[in-house]
Amino acid sequence: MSSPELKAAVGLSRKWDAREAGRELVNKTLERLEGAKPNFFLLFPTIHYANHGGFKELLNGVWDVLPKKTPLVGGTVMGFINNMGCFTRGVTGLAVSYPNMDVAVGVGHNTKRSPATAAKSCVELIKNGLKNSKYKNKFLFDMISGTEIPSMPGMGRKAVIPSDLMGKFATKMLGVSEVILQKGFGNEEEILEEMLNELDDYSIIHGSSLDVSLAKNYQFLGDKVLTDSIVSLGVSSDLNVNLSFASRANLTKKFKVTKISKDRRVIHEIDGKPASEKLLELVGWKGKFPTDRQFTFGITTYFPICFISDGKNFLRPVVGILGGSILLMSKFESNEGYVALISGKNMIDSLDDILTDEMAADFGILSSCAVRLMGLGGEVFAIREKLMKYFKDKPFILVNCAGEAVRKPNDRIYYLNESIALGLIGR
Amino acid sequence: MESKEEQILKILQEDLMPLEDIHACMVAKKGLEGITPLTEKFKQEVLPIWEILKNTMDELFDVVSHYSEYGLDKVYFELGEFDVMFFILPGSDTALVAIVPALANRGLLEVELENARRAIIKIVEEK
Repeated sequence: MSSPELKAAVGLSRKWDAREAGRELVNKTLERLEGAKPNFFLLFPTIHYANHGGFKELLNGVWDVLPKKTPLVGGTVMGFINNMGCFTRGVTGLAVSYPNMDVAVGVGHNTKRSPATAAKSCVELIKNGLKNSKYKNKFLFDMISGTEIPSMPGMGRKAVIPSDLMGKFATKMLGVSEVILQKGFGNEEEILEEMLNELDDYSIIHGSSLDVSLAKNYQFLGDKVLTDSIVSLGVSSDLNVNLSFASRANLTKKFKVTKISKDRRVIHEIDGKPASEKLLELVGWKGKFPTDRQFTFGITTYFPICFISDGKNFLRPVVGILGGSILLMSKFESNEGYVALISGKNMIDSLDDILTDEMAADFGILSSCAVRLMGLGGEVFAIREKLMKYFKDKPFILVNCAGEAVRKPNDRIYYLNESIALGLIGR
Repeated sequence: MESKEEQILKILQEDLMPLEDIHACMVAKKGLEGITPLTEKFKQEVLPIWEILKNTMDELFDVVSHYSEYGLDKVYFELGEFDVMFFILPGSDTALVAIVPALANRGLLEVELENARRAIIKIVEEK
């Protein structure tokens, strides 16, 4: 007996005007679906549309064309790769049509202030939406509002604050701001961990939405433009899902974390010394503090720190120096760590670790760290070449996010930075 | 039908110039001969040092013309508050040039400059 027909299509628009881009994206995507009605639509614009009509207009354009009630989720990304090319400006989308599939969407608000509540709301919607599904393979794609760095009074939005006093002030501000202004850490790990309790049998692939300057990012659900939210797409079907991830960093010098914040995202001391001083020593930085530029495009990109858990490397790029402390976007879950070294070649070659011939996928979703995109720049086209060689005429989307994660059914979540996560879906 | 020059100008004006961090861009060779959007379209910040940039870029175009045949692909230089990025059209003395703020996210801009360079090469090579 032949398997039912699955149609998947990726679209792209490079139009500047938000409404026109939304329309063109969906028109092109549906054209490739050849008349099939999509079961869902994933939407990934870059932040540019905020200043070219706004995201509400982008969605208006999408819904001018997309069949009413099509489940839609998405969020802003720093860039993306798809079958058509590599882009850091524009909008891409993925639509899938398949008869043996049930779909539900979930949403949770106030992720920075109340991550657990947001997770619970989201899970409840997904579980209720799929409770009558007869299919046993469950898959969840989610986007969570990523870290947003507040602009500090008198300092603006800076990566390097050399003064210890100002650094301590900034650290305190970050906590206050998270509660009052909902600016701060994305809390992705807390949200995902909370969700796992209720979603044992789900495969999960995650991306954290972001903008270019970590100032404000957006999530999308149906015709709604959201901030500080989690949106998710739950799929129950007879399709197989294969998840993997890779980073290919080389671990170099070992260190001990001797003082760290309660949430494990701000390291105060390494080997008994102020963390920023010790980090700079470990990466071989000499002289005064690096400038923002030297720090962001040098140390953040190519020298993430790393801890090992369950035999896997978890990279954590250092995104800020706050006086004596260093700032991460996600948790450093060990008191032992390494300075990692990651080259452009490592980033490109890491694709070889996940693009294996194990499964003939009908389509692929990849979530990769935006720091990699910043580091690779124009060399990112080499990643697309590898993806094209693997997927051939099958559609795929790689979105550059603030963080990525994968989780196989009944397994732990692997919350990643500066890595690449792959979800292959097929019959 | 649009001429090749018009098509290239369209890429500069419609794809690159609207990007917030592209302060000026052109497809040029030594002496800044080539295809350039109207300087009025350049971001104001770049205008005060435009003459200095023109002179410094001449020196760089000497390097481009010497090494292009050996596969020179990109050249960057930092000048005060600006980065000047040269994306060389393969085997030629001509480059897509962009002037961006020193603190711009160069990696992201590179992707769009590469898209523009590929589109320009396609236009140039069309019969």
